[in-house]
Amino acid sequence: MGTILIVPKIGHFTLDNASNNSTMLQSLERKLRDRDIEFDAVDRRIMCFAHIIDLCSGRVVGAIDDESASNPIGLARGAVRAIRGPGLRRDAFDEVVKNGNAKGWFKAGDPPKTIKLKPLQLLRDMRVWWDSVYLMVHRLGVMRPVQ
Amino acid sequence: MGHVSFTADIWSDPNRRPFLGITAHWIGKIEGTTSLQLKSSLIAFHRLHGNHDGESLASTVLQLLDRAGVTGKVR
Repeated sequence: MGTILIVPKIGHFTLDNASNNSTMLQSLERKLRDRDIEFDAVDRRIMCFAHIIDLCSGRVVGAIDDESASNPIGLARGAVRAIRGPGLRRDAFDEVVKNGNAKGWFKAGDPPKTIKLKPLQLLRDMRVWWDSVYLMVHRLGVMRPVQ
Repeated sequence: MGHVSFTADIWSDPNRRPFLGITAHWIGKIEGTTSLQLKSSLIAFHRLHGNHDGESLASTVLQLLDRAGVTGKVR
């Protein structure tokens, strides 16, 4: 292969925090060293910050996530499950939104004003889906006038 | 300066076919000025075959870096 004289140099890698990526960089270190290219797998890895934030916030959510009535996340999940559950109820939810918009049922603000809601469904949270707890609670807030 | 860094991730399409995307990031000059700018560019969007273990990923990644011409001698 000989010496490669291209100016750019390999800098740092950001990957998700899966363990096969550690093996990948260690293997890359060996392969590059075979070509006399200095590369330190640990030094050249920048862990995925978003992944770390997700792990931390997941722990916080997990710690407060019990079945008690004072747990807003549990309450939100219960409400979403009940409404999203079977297809018929989702259709019914759609109907309520459509009807409510037509008849001016929905109010928001202070003093309350009649608003129109977008025809959106509630969202369920999923452990492996980043931000889904936030999205679930946020969507529930957006659709709150339907209550 | 002179270093190119990378972000990469593997995703599956709805038919469960895995794709590896690699983006390069570097500091470059803004044309005709002395100002510097963070630049980035997609250098690979690669259909993965076989294992996703670290060893085979490293071979694929090195091959893709070679193709992009960013493997150079460091210092």
